[in-house]
Amino acid sequence: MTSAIKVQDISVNYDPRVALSSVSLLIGAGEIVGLVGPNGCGKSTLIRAITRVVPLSSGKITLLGEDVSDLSQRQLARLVAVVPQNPNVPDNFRSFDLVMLGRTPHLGLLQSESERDLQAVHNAMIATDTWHLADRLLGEISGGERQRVVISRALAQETPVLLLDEPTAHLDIGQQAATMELLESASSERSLTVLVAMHDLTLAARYCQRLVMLSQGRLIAEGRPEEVLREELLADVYTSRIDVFSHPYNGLPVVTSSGRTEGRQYGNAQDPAETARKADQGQDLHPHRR
Amino acid sequence: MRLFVNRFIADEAAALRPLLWPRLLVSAAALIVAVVVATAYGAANIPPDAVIQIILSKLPGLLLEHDWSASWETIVWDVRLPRVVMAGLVGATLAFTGSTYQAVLRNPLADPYLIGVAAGAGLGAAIATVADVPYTFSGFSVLPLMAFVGALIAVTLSYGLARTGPSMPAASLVLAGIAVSSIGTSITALIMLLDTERTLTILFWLLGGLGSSDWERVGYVLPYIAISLAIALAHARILNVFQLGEEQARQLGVNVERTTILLLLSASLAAAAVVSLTGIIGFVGLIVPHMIRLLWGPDYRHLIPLSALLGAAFLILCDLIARSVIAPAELPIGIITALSGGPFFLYLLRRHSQRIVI
Repeated sequence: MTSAIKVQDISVNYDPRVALSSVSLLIGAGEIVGLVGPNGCGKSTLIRAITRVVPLSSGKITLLGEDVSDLSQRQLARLVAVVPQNPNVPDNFRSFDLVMLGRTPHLGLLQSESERDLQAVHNAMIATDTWHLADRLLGEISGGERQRVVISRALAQETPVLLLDEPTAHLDIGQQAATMELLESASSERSLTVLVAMHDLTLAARYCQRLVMLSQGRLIAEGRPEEVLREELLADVYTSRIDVFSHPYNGLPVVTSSGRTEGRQYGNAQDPAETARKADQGQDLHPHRR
Repeated sequence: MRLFVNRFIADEAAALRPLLWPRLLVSAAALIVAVVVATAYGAANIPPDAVIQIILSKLPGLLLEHDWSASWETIVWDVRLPRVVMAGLVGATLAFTGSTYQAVLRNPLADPYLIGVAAGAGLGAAIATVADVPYTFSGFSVLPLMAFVGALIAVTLSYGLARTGPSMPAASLVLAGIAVSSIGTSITALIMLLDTERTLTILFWLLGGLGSSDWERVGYVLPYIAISLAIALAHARILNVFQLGEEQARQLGVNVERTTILLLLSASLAAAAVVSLTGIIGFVGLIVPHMIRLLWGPDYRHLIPLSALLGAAFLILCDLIARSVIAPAELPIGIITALSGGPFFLYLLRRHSQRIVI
């Protein structure tokens, strides 16, 4: 398997705090990998390091065999596109114009946009179902629509690698699933390599082939979702009691936190362990669906 | 089939993008009207058609019948037109460099004077005035030269102070510029207080004016303005990317440091050249770009050329008012730019307050 992203023993220091220490990671071409871990664990820093927004203290990052530090900013932007956590989107820009900015790394200083660029923008906006919003101002559309427009901009960049920093953070659960499905289809249609930082472990387990877990700047687990999402590990990382169930219909891990207070009751349930076991076996919880 | 699809998308996209040329045409027409009116009007009124003919007769390859008096030609060509052209160049420069500063520093309040150009030029001019240097020295005008040098020193200081390692945060540059400007302004004020005889001379220079314009001075500022405008126009699309912030601009392949320094230095150079000759004319760099944003949106590929054209027209008309209201005396043009532009700007702001984003 050729690796699209190869992170070799990198460290990043935000003087004097260590943001990432000795992180190594291999992501294969076409994979969708979820980057998980608590707030401040270094997810965003890793994304910034790959795009050279923050400098490495040590280590090396290669994208499709190219050492990131040898590339110009422009060459780098042709390899990797980013959907930031809180994208700064000017309210008075039209959606179309924002997506067109994704073509920046493909255009020379005096070059104007060609039919080829238009095609890329159109394809990206069709893929995210935002073409009908093309003439709307970003200040006028909803948060979920805006997020899809920002993703279109990254797709219009036509890079082999896509990094997303909590793309589902401000979305409702329906939109969260839709966004992840969009990444899934974009990944398979364009053989795009996707690294997506997320907080929602259940969602990550549902859509990512592999998970990478960071804690305090270190990589502490990686593997298939059910390998990474273990109760003891999560309890340790999130300093909270975490319960992992198997989804009654598809068997995928469902992760919930039951807080930091010992002996706290679960809603109306009398015996948490009993309820959990029933859920595990898919019994009784939804008798009306049986 | 593929061609058909492309054409369909192209048509849809064309409807999404307003064309530049109709806006350029309207702005250029406004500029031409301003030039003709300002040249025709004065102590001796000259008919606009004569003004147009005299100007056209100076163009190479156009042979027109001379049916105007020699004195008209002198008034138009040697007295009024240099001043009108200078006003146009200054207005254009202040406006397009204002847009550039607002884009690069991502600050809607930025203007060409923000990072020290005005304070440095003012201090240079004040020192030249009190030091009793001759107005010209072996062919050079000393006062503008010192103002120019003062402006460049102040801008260099602001950069030097704001830079930390390889990066230069926009906010640091704004703060450093404000600090350097305050120091420069304070020293200028001190000089004015210590030498009360020349206070008025310095004050008049500080308030700005176009009274001493001639073709030679037009020739002196023109190269700076032309180069700076060319650089700004070439980077107009990149300025749009800057609106997404430094991090996203980088991730879209823009070399943010290099572009910031190139654009600010070239804009500062043009602003310094202009300020050194005409003093500090406030408000144009702020008001003209925002008016265009409110009317026509935020795309810098439109904003830069339209700022230049409409900034020129605006300052030509302001100068016309400045020299006509209490003729033969003149008002400082800075008063007119603020008094005429301010209310119109406030009106636009009230109407489209939601669009006042850089």
